[in-house]
Amino acid sequence: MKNLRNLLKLASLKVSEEEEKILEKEVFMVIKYFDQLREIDDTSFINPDSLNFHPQELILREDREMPFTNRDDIIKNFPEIEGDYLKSPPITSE
Amino acid sequence: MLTVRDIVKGIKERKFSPLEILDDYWARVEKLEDKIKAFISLKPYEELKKEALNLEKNPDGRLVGVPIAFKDNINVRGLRTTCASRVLENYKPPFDATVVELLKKEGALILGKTNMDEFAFGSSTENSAYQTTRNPYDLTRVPGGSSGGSAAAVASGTTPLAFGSDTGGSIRQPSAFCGVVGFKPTYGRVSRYGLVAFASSLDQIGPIAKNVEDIWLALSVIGGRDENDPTTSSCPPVNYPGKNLKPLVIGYCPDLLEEGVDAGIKDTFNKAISIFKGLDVTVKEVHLPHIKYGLSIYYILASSEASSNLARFDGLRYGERGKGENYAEMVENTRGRGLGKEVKRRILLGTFALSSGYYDAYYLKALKVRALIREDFRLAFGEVDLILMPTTPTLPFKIGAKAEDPLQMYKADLFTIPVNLAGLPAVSLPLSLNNGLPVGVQLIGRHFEEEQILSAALMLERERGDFPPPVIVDRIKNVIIQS
Repeated sequence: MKNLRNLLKLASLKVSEEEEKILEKEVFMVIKYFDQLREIDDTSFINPDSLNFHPQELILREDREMPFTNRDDIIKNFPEIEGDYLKSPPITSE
Repeated sequence: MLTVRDIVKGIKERKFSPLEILDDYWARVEKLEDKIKAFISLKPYEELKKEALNLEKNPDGRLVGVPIAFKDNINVRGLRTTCASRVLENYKPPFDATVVELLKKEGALILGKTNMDEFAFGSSTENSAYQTTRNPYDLTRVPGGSSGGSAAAVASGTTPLAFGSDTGGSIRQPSAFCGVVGFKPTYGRVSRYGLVAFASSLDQIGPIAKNVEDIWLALSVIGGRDENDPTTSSCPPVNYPGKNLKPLVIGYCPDLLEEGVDAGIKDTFNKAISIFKGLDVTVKEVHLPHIKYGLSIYYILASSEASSNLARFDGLRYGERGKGENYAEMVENTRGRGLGKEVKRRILLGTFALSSGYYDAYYLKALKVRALIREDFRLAFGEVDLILMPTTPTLPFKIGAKAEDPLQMYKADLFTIPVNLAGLPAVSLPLSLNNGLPVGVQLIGRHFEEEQILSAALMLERERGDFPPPVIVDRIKNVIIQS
């Protein structure tokens, strides 16, 4: 698991071999730095609520329909277009 | 130079017009921008002129006629949002961020979008795919980051007010490096709707200006509950003008200053302590035993959240699309080509921390230590009203000096990161010059007690007096461009 090629695949990143070598060195150097966390005893953590980071309660609203008037602005950002449709490459190359 | 308050007052009393103010700042943009390189996009002058003339007819807003700039990860309809990345080179958002809407409503005039580290990953603005912004106090040095463009623009006087985002120090650290005031509000104070997400549990938008009062005014405009961001609080807004709340007790952590902190930074920090003592504020030691782990857990949590948030940049619906025979190939090529080196590093770190077999030891462990840091602060704030820290461990460094060593670069955020991890508000205020370079101090307060921080910052500012503006020197031609 601990190799960069697998991480690149999981992250959907294609890089050159040269870039891969540099990234491998740098990424694992930082991960090694994270090892300082091993010295912390976390056995007393039993309450998962204590991991909630928000300073206040989350306020949720009801879902409702909202008009959106800038449809054309969204379409203008499409990288490839056919008529009003967003064009995507095929899911498989078969 | 006029403050934001002076501009608004002058326009309302018809001493000068919004157009005169615009022309004044625009002239500075034309004179300085090619040296500082703070902006990625500028609105065309003719458009701004039309807006300024409209404001003249109706000068009601609380920020009427005030030129402002936004970091290029905050959506302004009609202007590109690039996040300083190639992958969003031509992206034009179809909506305004909530903060943009609020500021427009008060009559602010948007000059343009400022440079940043790509997707806010960095502490020097060198990770921009487009340009390197310069520190106005020394053009061979970095302005800090990631909101380096916003801080440099305010420092050089091309705008009196700018906005950035702060995930681990990205407003406060560049503000300290550029000799301006930067504020990171409490998590939940300001809506993140329309801010391109980096680490959603840490990100917060905040103002950068030349003085505390202008920051206070800006905060009173941008805060508040927003239905489009469920993490915003219904807590009453920051009042302006607000109550002056003199702090009774200020805390500091002596062990933080032991290693890796420049002598000039320590001197400035000690100056802040003696100013408070001279004003009859009790200063006492506090202990935050877990913040030494802040850097590690920040880079685990922020990278994890970023690896998930940045999955949307796949070239499908917007942005620059890479080639590919099929969808998966297209995505890999889009991201491989369109994302910069630091962005890839962080995505890979996050992917690692969240991956099966490593999740418990890294991501979950980091969440637990985050809770310990929050608890450290909670206990400390039982004894003191505010905590004083340096903003940065070092002075602004030379361009290129840390570019090849990610860990050294990450350490620039040593003192700012714990604040985001605990969701607290904090300000960075420039207090002195060391070898001609600005040094800031940071004041951290309890959740939603921004007014307490601002009051104490005002005390320091008054004792300090006017902060020396940059003398912008072109060293190649050896001429002073602006003093």
